[in-house]
Amino acid sequence: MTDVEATLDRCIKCNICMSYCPPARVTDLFPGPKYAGPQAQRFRVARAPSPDASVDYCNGCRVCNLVCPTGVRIAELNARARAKLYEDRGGVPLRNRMLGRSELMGRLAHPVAPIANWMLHNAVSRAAAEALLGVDRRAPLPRFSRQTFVEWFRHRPARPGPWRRRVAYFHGCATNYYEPWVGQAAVGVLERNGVEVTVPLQNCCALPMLSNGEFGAARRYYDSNLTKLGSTAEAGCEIVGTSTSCTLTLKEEAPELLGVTSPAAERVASATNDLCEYLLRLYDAGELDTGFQALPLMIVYHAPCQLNAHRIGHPAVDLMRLIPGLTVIESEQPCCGIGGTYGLKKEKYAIGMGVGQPLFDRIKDSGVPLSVCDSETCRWQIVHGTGRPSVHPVQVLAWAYGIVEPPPYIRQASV
Amino acid sequence: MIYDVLVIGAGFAGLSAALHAAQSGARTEILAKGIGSTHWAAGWVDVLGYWPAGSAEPVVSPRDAVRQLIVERPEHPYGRAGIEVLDHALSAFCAHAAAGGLVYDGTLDRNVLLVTPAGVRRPTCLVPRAMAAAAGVADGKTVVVGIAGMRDFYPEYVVANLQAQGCAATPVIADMPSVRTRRPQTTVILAMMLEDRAVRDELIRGIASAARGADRVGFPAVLGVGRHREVTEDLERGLGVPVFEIPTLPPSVSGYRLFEALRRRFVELGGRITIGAEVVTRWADGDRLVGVGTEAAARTQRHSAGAFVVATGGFLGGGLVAAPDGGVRETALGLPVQAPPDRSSWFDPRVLAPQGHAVFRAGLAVNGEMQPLDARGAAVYRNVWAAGSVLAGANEWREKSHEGLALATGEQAARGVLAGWDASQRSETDVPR
Amino acid sequence: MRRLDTDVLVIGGGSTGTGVARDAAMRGFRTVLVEKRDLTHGTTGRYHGLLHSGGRYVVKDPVSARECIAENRVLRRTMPHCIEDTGGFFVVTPSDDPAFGDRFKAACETCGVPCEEISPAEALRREPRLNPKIQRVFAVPDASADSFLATHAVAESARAHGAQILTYHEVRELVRSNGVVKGARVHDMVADEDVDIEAAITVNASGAWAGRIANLAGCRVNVIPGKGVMVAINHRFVNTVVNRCKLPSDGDIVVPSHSVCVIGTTDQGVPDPEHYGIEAWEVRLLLDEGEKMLPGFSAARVLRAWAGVRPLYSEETVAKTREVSRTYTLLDHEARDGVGGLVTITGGKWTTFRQMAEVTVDAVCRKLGTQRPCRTHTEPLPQMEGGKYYTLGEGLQRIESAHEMSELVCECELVTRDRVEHVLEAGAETLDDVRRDVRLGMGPCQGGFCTYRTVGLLQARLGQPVEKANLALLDFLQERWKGLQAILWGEQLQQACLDELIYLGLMNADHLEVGGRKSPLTDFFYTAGTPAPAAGPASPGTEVGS
Repeated sequence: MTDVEATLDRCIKCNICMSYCPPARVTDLFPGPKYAGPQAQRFRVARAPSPDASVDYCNGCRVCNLVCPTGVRIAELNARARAKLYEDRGGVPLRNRMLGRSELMGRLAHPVAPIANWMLHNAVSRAAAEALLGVDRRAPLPRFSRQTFVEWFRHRPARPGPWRRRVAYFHGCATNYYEPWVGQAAVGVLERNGVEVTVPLQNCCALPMLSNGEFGAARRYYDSNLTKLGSTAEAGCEIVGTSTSCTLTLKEEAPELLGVTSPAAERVASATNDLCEYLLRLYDAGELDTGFQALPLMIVYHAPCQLNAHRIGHPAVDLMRLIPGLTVIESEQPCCGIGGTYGLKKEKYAIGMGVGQPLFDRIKDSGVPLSVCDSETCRWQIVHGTGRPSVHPVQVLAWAYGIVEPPPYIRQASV
Repeated sequence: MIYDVLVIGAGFAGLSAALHAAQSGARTEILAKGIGSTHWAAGWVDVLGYWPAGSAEPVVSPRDAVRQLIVERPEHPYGRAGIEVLDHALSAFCAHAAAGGLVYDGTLDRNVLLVTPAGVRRPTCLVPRAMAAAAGVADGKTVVVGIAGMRDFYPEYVVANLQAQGCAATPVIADMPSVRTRRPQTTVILAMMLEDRAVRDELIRGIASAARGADRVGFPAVLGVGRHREVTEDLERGLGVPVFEIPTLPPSVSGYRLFEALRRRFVELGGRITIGAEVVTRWADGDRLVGVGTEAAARTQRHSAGAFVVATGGFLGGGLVAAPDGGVRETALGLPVQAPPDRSSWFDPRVLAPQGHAVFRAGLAVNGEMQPLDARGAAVYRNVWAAGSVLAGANEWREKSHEGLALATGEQAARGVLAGWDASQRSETDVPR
Repeated sequence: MRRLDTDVLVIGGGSTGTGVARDAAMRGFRTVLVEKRDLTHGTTGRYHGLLHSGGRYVVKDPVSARECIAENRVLRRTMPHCIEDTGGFFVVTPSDDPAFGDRFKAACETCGVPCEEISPAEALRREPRLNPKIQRVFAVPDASADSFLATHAVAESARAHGAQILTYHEVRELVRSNGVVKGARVHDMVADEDVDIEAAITVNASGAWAGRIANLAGCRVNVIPGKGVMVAINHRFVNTVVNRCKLPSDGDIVVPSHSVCVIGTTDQGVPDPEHYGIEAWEVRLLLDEGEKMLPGFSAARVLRAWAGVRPLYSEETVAKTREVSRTYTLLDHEARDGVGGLVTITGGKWTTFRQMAEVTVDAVCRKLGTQRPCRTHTEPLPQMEGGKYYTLGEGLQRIESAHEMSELVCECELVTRDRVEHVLEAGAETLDDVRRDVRLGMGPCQGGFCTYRTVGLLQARLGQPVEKANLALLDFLQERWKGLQAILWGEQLQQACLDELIYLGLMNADHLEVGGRKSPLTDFFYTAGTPAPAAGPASPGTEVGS
């Protein structure tokens, strides 16, 4: 048993985690974090087959870790148990492997983006995907962008300085293949604050593989990132990311779940920052440009589970509250239900939607024109559940800086 | 981000201190490793149930008993906070809870006897409205309801003990198809299920005939969470009699409601609360604490403030840790702890010994302003205060004083903070609310 | 007053007594067993949980070693469901002499104990938490055994063959006539009445109490209760039995047992098999010794400490109890003391209980002038479930397939309501009896949640006067507390605080109505401490004895 697994000893069986677990509220297919984590772990033997399959219904949101008063790493216990479960069953199912390969999917589909999008978003192929692969036909899948973020970045003319600082931007698969505008906004906001942005070689952070129990492949991707980002970290350059999932993976999830404690892993982890975390640090040092234009509107901010797992608070809220006229309401809901790739799966789609319903209701009832959330998969789920747009906080900052024109519904709402 | 006041711990004491500070205009943040005592305790507010601890007879007037306690044990946390602050803290608590949608009744002058999950009548001071009707069980007939498939409540046992105390009561078990299908694992999930009208109807149908002729009906505390009021009123309408809740094994739904109500209220007052933030280090400048660091992914997150309140909750809350060699350590700030000199005197061989176990009375020694003291009796830091179960000297679970002690010392700590704080000290670059 | 007439009266409801009852009943004798508390209340329910391969005894006590390996095979065949096939390691740590390994291996061969030397790397692969600096490792067929389950299975088999098993029946007198024991007068503790039992042969299988029982017939049997302390760690540090490869001493065995692992043990003569304490130094010693084999052991969450007393039989007085042989002794009091109708079986260890029972019933046969063969070495026990060994995950698997997570009464140890109700209906008198049957309260929360739930079920099921249910609750809280005080620190202390919140804060159990009663059925063993030995705690490596 490793360090993470030994934290099961801290469990005092108090049931607080059971009270907050979002999937356990919606279904009894998941017996709850206390049961699936520290309790079941006492009955699992490394060299014996996994005795419990219900741990697969954990959605990896990590709310349990946050509310646990004694520091049991419940989510990690579950993730490890799930990986072993798949190993015992003879490997990770094809569907899980496909869902785990966001970068590969991106690279294959990107050259034929319009066709790929058509295939992902028509009823017939979705029905087939549900029947053959177990991806729910209603699940919110993104659309491939014709131009990747990296292509955009490489084609733009070099910016002159002067630069006070420099960062390496970790774009992640979603920004690169589906939402390059998030990366574009990030670059704009950073440059506005005198920060030079480089985009080093990088690959998928491997979180989808970790979440789907494919630790072997995840390890290869993670090691590759350590190599690619290693020199950046060694040079003392900060790595910033707009996907709270990617940055959490580099900071903690990958080294912990895979049991990697090398100096390279530690360096990259220490160097990695969520973008809003980084910007807030600039603010605290008095170096953030606070010349924001007014944005007189009200928005609901939803802190993704994976941001809460960073344990750095909600820096996006602090930043957005610097914008004159902007009212930021926090959702105060634990989870949108998507759980990365969890809510895409046929057997889990309804659970995901059930988990997210209170959040959807909150957003709809508040009457706001849009919600703001740092995680791409959460945004897709929120759009799916509310019918309203959802953007990354950096986009709001970009609007307030005047770098990017807000969409029409914002302009209308602020009138 | 710099806060005026940083409260460590989100239990009763932490919430009490933070609410008081926030209401007075201080920019307040609560950092908590996790969620705590609210979710384990019953949801009522004890002030003093038995004095001396272990007496057979319950205290009738908590005010009088606390006065007596303060005379006999001035170093007890109630002695530090004082009656006046206790009184004020209880009123403040009621106001905050009400603002958060939960009504509490009661007065410092009189304890009320409620019903425990074992059926024992038990004194407490402030009563959540949902439990109020329990006070009447000595008169008339009470029906106690259990739900088939719910393992955390046994109406037969409750009734048997009520009868032994001279109360007329009968048990009934409701068989609810929804519960059979959905099989909720904890009380919180069952409480959420009961927010559905159809599920409530099953419950009413299941017990309506048994409840006929009763003067009141007692339920395990699962009558809704956010929509608790609606659930209770609906049941009363459907059954035609007052209903009351009896607390259950943890998780305490009543406590969960209370925490959420107080949390909402705190945020409304401009406060910030972060769960999942464990204090692991600190920075001091001489006798002034400058900041604390919380454990974050791949780093320590720094929090600066002008004043700090340690409300980390004794051994149970994780604020104190005991080592095998007999040492006791305060975990957030490493403050000196008052504890029995060695392990051999920690425990009484009888588990329910009335004077309790000496080690559980270990904790921080504080002055009248709730500042933690060193061995010489001087405040360790000039800007640190402490409240709640982390304090030394209380025998909480036998005195039945947990919540009152937390609220009183929380408020006293906040007063100490505010006495030294001045709104004009706030810097101009700080973030507006 | 009730009267019973039988061929064989067995005194003692531990592994040996029930083993004798089964064997006698299978051989066609009318058999009655009396036990003053619940089955396994004595040493059988307080031991290490080890099915010996015999490796521990090969060097210094080869007779015991041979007995052990023979019975190891028999028990694996006849009660595999009570045994987890963990295998065992004997490890040479940096504190030990590697050369001893050769002596060990040779002695194993001599005694017929299978022993294979494996590389430390292989051992670490199988058990990653072993001390990485171990020098040599030997694999032997040790296993982990559930003595509660085994004893109950044996008792059930005895009943199936016509025996009567009477728990909560305490022997008050041995009835003698013309120098022959004719039976006993026992007191039924539940019904509070005496029972006269007439028997042709009385078997004294009362373990550490054997001296006291023999005394009732005027026979002097020097049984020294040898106290052994054990400590359970909250999770399975290892899944293999791990022994120190050196001469036997304190704290040199770690046994994975169900969801915990148990380290033991110490060895101190105590005057009284019922009253002894657990000292801080004993716990410290065990944890420190465990640390040598398994780094991190002493910092892990300690769940509980308890002690059992070995029945050590020795004709002469001994200075150190570790010197007493662990083999068993059958005493025919007719030959030895001129008292007919009584035999005593004493000494021994759990692993050899069946053989002890066999020789005893052989003696019964001789004394009754008949020859009836023993079949217990081949006849499997009930509920063998296809002859499979117990596995740790099987309980969790069962709950998964039946989807009965919400039915758990003891969540820590995965005990469902059905099983608890079954045990209550079968006549458990206290929650401690339930614990022995199903492991109620033996997990991390030490009864925090399941005590209340079980009392609730008890009350609902049995409709007893509520004072009885209340007493059951208070008694069990006290029973759990006994094993906690010596080890409460860190996380377990935090747990004890939550348990206080529940029972004192929430339930107000300190104000439960018990009608002034004290429970007549519950015996609290530990009321006095054991003085530390004059030279201080035994240090590892010094031979306290053999």
